[in-house]
Amino acid sequence: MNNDSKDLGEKKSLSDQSLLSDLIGADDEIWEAMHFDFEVVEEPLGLKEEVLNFVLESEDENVTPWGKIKTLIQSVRNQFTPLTTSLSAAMLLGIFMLITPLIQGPSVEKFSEISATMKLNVAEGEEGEVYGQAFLINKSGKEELVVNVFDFPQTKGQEVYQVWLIDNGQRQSAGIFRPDKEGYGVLTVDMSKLNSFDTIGITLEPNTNSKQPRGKKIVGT
Amino acid sequence: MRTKNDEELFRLVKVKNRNALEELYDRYGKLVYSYAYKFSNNQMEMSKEITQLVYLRLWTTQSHYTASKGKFINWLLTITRNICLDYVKKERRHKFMSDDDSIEYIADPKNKIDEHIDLQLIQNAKLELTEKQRRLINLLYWRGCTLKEIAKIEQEPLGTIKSRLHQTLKQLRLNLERGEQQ
Repeated sequence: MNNDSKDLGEKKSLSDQSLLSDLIGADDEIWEAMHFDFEVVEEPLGLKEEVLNFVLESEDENVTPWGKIKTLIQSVRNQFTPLTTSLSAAMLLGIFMLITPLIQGPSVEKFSEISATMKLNVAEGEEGEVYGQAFLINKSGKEELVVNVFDFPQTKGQEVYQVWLIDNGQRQSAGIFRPDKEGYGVLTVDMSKLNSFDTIGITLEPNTNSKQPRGKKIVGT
Repeated sequence: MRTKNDEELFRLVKVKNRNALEELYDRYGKLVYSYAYKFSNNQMEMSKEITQLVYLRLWTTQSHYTASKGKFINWLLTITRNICLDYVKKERRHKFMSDDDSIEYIADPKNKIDEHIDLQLIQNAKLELTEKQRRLINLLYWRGCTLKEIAKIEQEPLGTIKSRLHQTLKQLRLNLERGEQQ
């Protein structure tokens, strides 16, 4: 039996209140004094145990798992105002973002493997020790082209080296680079937006605007 | 537990301390039962059930008691009375209404226990009322009847009952005040 909604504050019953309010001069004192208009009698044997068992058993019956959860939620909700809830949520989010990288643990490393290697040799008619290598690398299904060159002469002015991918005579630019002082140059290319190719050529271009090779070929496969 | 006051005990009951509930029973269980016994017109089973419901209410209530509200026993008997009224309503109050014998005679206590001074005061104050006034108070308080119902039972106009009640409460207050001064 749950009468909590009715007895908040344990007020006198409504009929009592409205009745008393009708009576001039009547007050709570008299009404409370009426509580004691009874004779104290001996309680039946064992009533104490009956009462305590009744209370505790009723509680056990009434408390379902869902009831316990509701009570828990209610008690937690009572701890928070909208302000503290917002602050707590922001704090938790911050902590989460901070520790996420730490608790990710040994993530699955991206698998990387060379699927093709090509040698870049000095082009016909060119002199020098220039050479290079190109690798097609499969990074967990994503293909990248890495071009390494060695002993490339320094560029002058706006000159750049440009890498061309050739398929049946059709050339597409893979990118441009300038070598460092040692003549060492690297270019990495995401192949997802480029067509497949058979050979690679690197030319020295006058500037970065070449759509097709305009300069001389330095190395090629 | 015995050294704790009622307010402290009730606070412990609210956090489900069984020993505190037991101590409150030891202190007031007899009074609650006796109150219910009178309200139920000496029905033992009903009184036992009401006593159980009162202590269940103490165990589950969201209400708060503080000593500033007055004596704990006053508060507890208010709860008891509310439960008695609910109980009687459920038991179809008109059953009592139609039982003329129970209305004609509601025994007034002859209390021999002096430890609860309030008991003596109200009983002495009531003794000085007229028979009709006592009947009115008993029907109103101990049967939970409305004034309309009392008018019907007494076969008198509602206005007469209201007027009598006004006089009765006035007299009762005078008697109580006189008793307190003695």
